[in-house]
Amino acid sequence: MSARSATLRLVPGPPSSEGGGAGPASLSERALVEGLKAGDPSICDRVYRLYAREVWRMLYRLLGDDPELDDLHHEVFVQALRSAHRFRGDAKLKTWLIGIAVNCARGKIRSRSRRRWLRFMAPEDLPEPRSRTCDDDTALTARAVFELVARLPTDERIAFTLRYVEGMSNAEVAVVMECSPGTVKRRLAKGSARFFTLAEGHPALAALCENRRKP
Amino acid sequence: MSVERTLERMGEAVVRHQDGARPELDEERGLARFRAAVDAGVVRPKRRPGLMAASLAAAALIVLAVMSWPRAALTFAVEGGHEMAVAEWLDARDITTVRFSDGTRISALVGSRWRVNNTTPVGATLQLERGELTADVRSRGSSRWLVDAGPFSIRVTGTRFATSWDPVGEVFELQMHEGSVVLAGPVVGGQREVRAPEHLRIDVGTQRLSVVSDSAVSSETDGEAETPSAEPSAAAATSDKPQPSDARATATGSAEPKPGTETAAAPGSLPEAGVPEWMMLAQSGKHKEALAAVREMDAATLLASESPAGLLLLAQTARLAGDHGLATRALSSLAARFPDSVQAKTALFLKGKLHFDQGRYDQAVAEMSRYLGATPGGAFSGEAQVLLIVALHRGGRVAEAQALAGKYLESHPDGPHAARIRSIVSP
Repeated sequence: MSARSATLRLVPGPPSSEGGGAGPASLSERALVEGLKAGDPSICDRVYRLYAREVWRMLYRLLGDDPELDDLHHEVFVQALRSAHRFRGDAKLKTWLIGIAVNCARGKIRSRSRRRWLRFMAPEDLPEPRSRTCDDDTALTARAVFELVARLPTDERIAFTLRYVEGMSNAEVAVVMECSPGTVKRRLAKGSARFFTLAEGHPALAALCENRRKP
Repeated sequence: MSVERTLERMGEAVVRHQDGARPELDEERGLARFRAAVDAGVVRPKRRPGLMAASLAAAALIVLAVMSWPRAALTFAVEGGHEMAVAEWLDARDITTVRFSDGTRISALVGSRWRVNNTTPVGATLQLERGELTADVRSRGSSRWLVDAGPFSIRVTGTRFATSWDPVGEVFELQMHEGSVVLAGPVVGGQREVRAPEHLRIDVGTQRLSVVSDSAVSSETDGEAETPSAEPSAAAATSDKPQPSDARATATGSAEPKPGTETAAAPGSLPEAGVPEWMMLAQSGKHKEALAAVREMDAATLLASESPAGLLLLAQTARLAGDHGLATRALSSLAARFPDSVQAKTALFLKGKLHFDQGRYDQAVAEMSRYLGATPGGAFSGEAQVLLIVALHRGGRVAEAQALAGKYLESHPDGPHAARIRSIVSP
């Protein structure tokens, strides 16, 4: 079985008519956006119902177990309503919302330095949520990867997560991060290089890093 | 395996782990909150302006563009040509000065480790992990500068000051040369305005705050927070004398934070998402509020049921909030219930720190030695070595201290603690 099959990856694969991918907004999506612009309560409800879980998943992907995840999630939809007038329909509504989520996460990551108590505690000693769906080895690898990715500069971290964890293409990452594919490529190159430098000394990842050199 | 494939495999592991660990979204509560925001008119969708309004707005924008500062984020460069990027750590080998495009200058002393976390058109956020920074911030009405030094946060609007953070001794200093800043962090309580020429010294371990004013009057407060409008010297003169640590935790109330600034969350008002409220408060740096939440629970049950990581967090939170008794109990529970865990090894270091803070140097020596023996390359081994040497010296075991100090200096001749250790070798 392919390691990237749908049974392993819990993220929807191909774009659906409701969203996903970087294509233009559908007719029904344009109607939703018009409703958002007008502040129609029933449309606002519908947009929330359609995309709340996707936005939640993306925020968790980027930030992990953050105590302010609920507040940030709310902020994404508030920002969506405030900026609905700027939505031009050249990307799907879901992609646009994910872009807002990524921007909110970016701001949160940058302000995270205010978790000053972390200065007293090594990352491996932080409380960790227990996973219901994976074994200890996978959890160890996953925690190690997340810990190292969290040390990358913000934009490299986001590009890395969207590309290698979320499985987006470079083009999709570019749309969500509102930059050119060339910029994405540069961020990924720098981020990957930094990641491997950090990972080579990490007991949970050293073997995987070693394998990448083998033909 | 190609590089891409290696990274994708790692990504898949993260997905599998996260998808099992991710808390469920409370969709109904989130929707109700969003509806409330829309109904309350907090969020107003933008409407297309009329032609006249659009013209006026355009004219105003042109005027603002001519008169206002550049909208691009500040840029910065290290004097002497060393390259430095946002979020990149800078270990200052000698005095290193960074100049920002608005004229602000930041100088770091030798042995300091710091970075620029982000820049905006009106300021930047700096993070000082250890050492000393001297800042000369150019004042403009809209300037927004923030300096995080260890667990302390300094909000700057345009001023000159020096700040330092010693992660081993857990001592913070702030000396104002010009203007004022707003300081937040442990012991401070809510937020505190600090004005030139005040010199503030905060010892997190002993929960002591000392203020030196221009009239050379030095006073000690015991974690008593002040409102920003109060005169610092007057408030210091009326403070209580320091109390033993356990009593201090209950005797010292935390002052109400300044209105409009960071406020403590009322119990039960934070989203649960599977994580206890005290833990979320602790992770947000609200140590006193976290302790208050713990005190509403059955501490004995908590100590008997919490995970190793949770106990470590509880101990650290209690220590930072001044409750050394609870910190000690949490660490003891951790060691007894999970003796082989990685957290139990870190607990040795924290126990040693607690003893050190309270002047029990023999016990501090014992715990630091046990920590170094159990985890020679541990995250706190550097700090543990230094504290061990200082504890030996203060405990009267001078010869042992000097022998260890000599070995330490051979390995770290220019390290951030070298000066302190040198004073032990050559008093």
